[in-house]
Amino acid sequence: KMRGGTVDRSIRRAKIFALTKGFRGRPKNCYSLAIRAAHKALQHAYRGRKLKKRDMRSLWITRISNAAQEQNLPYSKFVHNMARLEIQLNRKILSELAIYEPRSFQALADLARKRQKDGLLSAL
Amino acid sequence: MASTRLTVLTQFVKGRYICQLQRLTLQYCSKGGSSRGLREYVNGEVVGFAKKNPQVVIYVRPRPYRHPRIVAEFLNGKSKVVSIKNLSQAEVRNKVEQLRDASGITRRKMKKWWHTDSPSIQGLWNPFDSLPYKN
Repeated sequence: KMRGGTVDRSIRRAKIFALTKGFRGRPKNCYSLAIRAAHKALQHAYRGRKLKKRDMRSLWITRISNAAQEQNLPYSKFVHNMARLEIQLNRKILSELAIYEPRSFQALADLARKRQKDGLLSAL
Repeated sequence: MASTRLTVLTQFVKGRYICQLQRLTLQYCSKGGSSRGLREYVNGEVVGFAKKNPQVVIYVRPRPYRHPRIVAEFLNGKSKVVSIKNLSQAEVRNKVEQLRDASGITRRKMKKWWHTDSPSIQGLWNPFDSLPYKN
């Protein structure tokens, strides 16, 4: 029972409860616990947005590394020579090529290998 | 695999239709009430059905104290057990004709749970096709 409760309180609380939908246990229904859970969830979301970018990039790199190893080329040499050839494909696209267009990826690996050899020869 | 299942159907399209039902075993109980429809069918219509469909072998087996069923076996080796418990004679007739028209393919949804506007042109990577590096 609300004694002299204002309308603002329920509106304010509804905003918090909208954030805690789907949570386990009392934090989704009890206001004092919900505030804490909601704020923590927002902190996690803030951090997650930054982590997601890092995680995706490291996933792409893992995939490119494996695909290049299939071509007997280490990831470092592959990427270095892509840069030397000024091929602007980023890691996201390279990983997608490795999955969906493996022949194209092989062609890129051949280019990288050739550039690596030319680089060694020109150094001699 | 959708392609292997569709090959059975293409056999019909290529040449003449071949009835895919090989064997029907009608199992009834001579006393049970749930078998009544099947018993009426067996006494009345089954001989006519057998004459009209000489490609199907029909067995009628008494199976006492159990509910009636039809076991259908198809040319691709699959078998289907249909319970006809408490069905009327007309409903049993419908079931039998359904089985006669059926193929033996197990029923499964053929939906793809993904969609892409740019499908893979060179084919998805798989470990068996991994191109061996040649010097």
